[in-house]
Amino acid sequence: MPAVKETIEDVRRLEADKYKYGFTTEIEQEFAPKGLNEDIVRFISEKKGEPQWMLDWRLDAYRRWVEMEEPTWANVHHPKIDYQDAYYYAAPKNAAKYKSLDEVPAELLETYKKLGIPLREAEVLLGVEGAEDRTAAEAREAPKVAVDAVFDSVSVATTFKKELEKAGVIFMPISEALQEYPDLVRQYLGSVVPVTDNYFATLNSAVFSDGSFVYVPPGVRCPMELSTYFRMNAQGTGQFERTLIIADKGAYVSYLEGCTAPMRDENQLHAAVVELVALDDAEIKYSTVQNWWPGDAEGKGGVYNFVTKRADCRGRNSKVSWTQVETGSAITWKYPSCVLRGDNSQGEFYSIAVTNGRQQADTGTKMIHLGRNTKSRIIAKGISAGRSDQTYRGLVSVHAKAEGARNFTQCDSLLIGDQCGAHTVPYIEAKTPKATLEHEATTSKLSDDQLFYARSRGLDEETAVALLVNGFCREVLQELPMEFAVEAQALLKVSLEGSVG
Amino acid sequence: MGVAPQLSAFEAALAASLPAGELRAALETAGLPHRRIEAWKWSDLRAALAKAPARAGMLSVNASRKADEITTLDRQPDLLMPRLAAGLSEGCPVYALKDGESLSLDFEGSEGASHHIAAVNVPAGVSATLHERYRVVAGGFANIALRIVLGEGATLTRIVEQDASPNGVLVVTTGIDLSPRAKLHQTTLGFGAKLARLETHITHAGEGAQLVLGGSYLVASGLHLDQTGIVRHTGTNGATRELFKGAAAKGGRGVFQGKIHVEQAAQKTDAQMNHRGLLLGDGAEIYAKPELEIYADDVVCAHGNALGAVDDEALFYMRQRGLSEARARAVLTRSFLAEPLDAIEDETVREALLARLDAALEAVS
Amino acid sequence: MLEIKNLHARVNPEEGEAKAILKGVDLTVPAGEVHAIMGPNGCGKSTLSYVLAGHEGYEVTDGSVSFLGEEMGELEPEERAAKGLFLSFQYPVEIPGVPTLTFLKEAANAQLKARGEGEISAPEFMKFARENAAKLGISSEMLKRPVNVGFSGGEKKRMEIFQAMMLSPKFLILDETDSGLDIDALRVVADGVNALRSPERGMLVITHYQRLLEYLKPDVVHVMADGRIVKTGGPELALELEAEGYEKFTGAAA
Repeated sequence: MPAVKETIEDVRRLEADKYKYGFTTEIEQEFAPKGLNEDIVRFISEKKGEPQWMLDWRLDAYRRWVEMEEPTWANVHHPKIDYQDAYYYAAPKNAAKYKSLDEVPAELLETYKKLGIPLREAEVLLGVEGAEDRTAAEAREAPKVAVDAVFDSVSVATTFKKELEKAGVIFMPISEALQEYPDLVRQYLGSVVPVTDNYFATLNSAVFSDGSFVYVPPGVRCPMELSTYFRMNAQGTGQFERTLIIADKGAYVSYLEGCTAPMRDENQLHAAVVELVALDDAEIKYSTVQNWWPGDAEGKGGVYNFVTKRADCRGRNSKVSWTQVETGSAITWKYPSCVLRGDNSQGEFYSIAVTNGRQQADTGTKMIHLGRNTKSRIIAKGISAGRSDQTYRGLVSVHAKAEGARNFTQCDSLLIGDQCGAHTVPYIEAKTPKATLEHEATTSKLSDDQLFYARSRGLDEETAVALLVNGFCREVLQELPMEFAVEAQALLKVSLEGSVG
Repeated sequence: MGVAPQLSAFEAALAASLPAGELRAALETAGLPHRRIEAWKWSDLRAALAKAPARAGMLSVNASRKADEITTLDRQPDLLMPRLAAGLSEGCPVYALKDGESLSLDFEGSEGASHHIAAVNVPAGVSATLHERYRVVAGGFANIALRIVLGEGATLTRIVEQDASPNGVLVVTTGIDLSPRAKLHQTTLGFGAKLARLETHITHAGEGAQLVLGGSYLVASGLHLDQTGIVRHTGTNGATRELFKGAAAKGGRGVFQGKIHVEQAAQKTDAQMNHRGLLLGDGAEIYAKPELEIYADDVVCAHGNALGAVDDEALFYMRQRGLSEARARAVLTRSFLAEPLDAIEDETVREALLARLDAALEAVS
Repeated sequence: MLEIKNLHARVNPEEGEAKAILKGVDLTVPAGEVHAIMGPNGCGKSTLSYVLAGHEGYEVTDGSVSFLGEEMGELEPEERAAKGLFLSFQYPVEIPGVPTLTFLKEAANAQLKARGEGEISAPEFMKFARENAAKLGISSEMLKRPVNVGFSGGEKKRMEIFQAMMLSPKFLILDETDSGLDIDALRVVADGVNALRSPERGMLVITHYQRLLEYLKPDVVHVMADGRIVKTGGPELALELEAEGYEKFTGAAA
């Protein structure tokens, strides 16, 4: 009993000063003028030297967005967002290459260090001459992760480019892909998340500044994990990255995404769009560790994370697996989904969401079964602490032609303290008798008995809580690539710091 | 809230029959509930009534006894449908149940639109039974609102039968207050209508109060039944058990929306909700939304939902013992649907409901 | 009585990967005899029992099965049951909501009807049930429960033999009936099976271990490996297998 009581007390006192990514980097930035209008859209497009069709696409999206209304159905509450009071483009001014690490501004190096990006990779990201070859050579023995870092609006660099090129894998900022592979981008962009899909996706379509583009050719197993770090730095900016990943027939790729932002009093908007396309026999594994600044204990500041992520399992036997660890953001609104179009295609969603302080999260997934013998699996673990509110919202829809479809859903919520909320809102639709859909959900609190047991074996409370929470999340953690799993576990502990003595 | 809808002739006539005021304005602005309204996502009342004749109908209520009083009391849930029922009814008959009493209320809606409200009180310590039956003739729309209040330690067995009403539309909204230590065991057996919605809002005061909700449904071709139930736990130590089982035949549509809401004060709540649906043929549809909304940490809440066809392995097992496939299917479907009804204590009532279920199963197979 | 010739079967492609499991089984069980099939896990023993009972999850791709001189071909499971074929399941299925006796009476009458015989009367049926239950130590409380619901593994197997007694089949297939049984339960079940032995009845006992065979004393023992019968012999073959393991036979099949 005392453990939980103390927990509650501590949560009341909680000061969210433990956000280790809450630094800013003092470097000169180039901004677009504040506010949003057609000229800003043109400005962004021009900065990127985009083809005319891309500009037209953006303008079309902008005009539609102006006519749309912000959605209100999610179980989140925030003051009205003033879309004119933000910058829609910010970029580090100095994009010149450095001859050696010594020339790199210390602030930038510090940033990468804090982000946990190894120095060698940082060199490549920063464009230090010759770094890429050295890194590639070193990496031959160690497991490899190719990194693309998006710093505010622009992609800084991509490591391991050459080695990926050898395998035929295209991994580059989407702005570059628009120059080098415009036809590929044009073929797939907006084909999974249409321009008018929802308010935030439409906004993204108009103003997205950068993001990653991945194309894995037929039969190729991507030789390394691909990774992107997103970082919001400049004050008053929104981040609108756009990611497009295509796994052609029989291809495989594992993609990791990490996000952080500095501590600021204001709310920063993050409205990303991620589109995945899996053709016949292809597989995409997409993992996210999202740790945007959640705001302080009183709910001041923090990132509004309004993201649209969707996969189209277009081909037969294709498979997409979403794994997410969501610990950050003041407000999260995100439903990584799978459209299971190809026969025998599979969709998976593994999620851990932690909310503490005054965070609000409304997250879940959609599994749309269109093809025959399609399968989906949803494991969602929610942990609410402090004065936070968390909702799992999910849709499993089996259409009349999806004979043999199967879904299994498990949603578990854990409450720490009596000032938070945990909600489960599943929508389940079955239109064929030849399908099986199972859904289970539980809500419970952290067990005092288990806490006491762990502490009597010598663990301090914080470690004991972390241990129990890790156990609660085990099924999801084991889906993460190894390097990420370690980071995620550490993050769980940090996120729940202050929820116990 | 977007552009005002173009009211159908039916909605316009309904609005015109109301006195000027807030309720009328609400109807004129929003129209009847439709699929864009979250709570009516799968039951588009507006569409079901779009071409209904815009004239008043009659609701005959066959009660086993006279009401104790008629009041103008209007304490309906703050929702459009029960407010309309209250606004368009002459008065509210109130039944105060006596210990051991069994009250039956038999509602039948004629052609045209009819509205009715009624209230049932189960005073503290009283144990009683309420048996309702609803049907609507073709071309009819019946909108009924009930208020049921259980005093401290009161016990109520509520049986709700909803007859198959092809081409009829039925909305029944019941608001129930469960006082401390009260017990409610409610069982519904429904067969659907062009659109039928049985909506129940229960305020559960906890402190030993117990709630058991059971329901079976079987919807044949062209029929739609929506069972929506919201249980709000407001006090500590409340228990809720829900078991809904249903089957949709080819062309039938079942909707289950269940929500368990636990307020911060409702510590030690123990709530479980289960819905299982069988799709009996191509073109059958079942929609489910089992929700938990929890604001208290020391609780045990769970829900489960399973949709699918009759278990293949059980079918094979029974056929290996000699039963025909059709017969094995019928036996499995029947035993599946009977479970919530089996919990009815009164043997006569239980057997009567099971017999009605059997007859309906016979008709769809 | 039961004649299996060159039987090939695979998993029905609609149910999963179309994998061949039976690859030419030849087997003849005359009336009055008890044959045992032994073999390592995954050799196709249980598949054989499912195929004989007419499970839709398997597709016969070649060969034939004749029972009492009649081709089984595409017969439905219930038609095979009515002809007198009884499968005691390795994993008896739980059927909530259906009382055991109600189910059995319906099954018995369905079989009688299919054979053009008159229905059994309720009192007659009840008397027969009580007698058989007593033989297997099954309480009347157990009979009231839904089919297999809430029974332990051993109780389920006992109920399978009880059902066999009630339905008086001409041929029994016992699929791993000994699995999940302790030694006492094994004896009760074996006694029940032995009581069902008769000159008119054939039996096929599928098992992994020799244990059950000590009680049942089969006339013939077959070894199955990789979807085929690789060796046939007398009861001593079972002992040999127990002592030496399956390796030399699995090797022979490969």
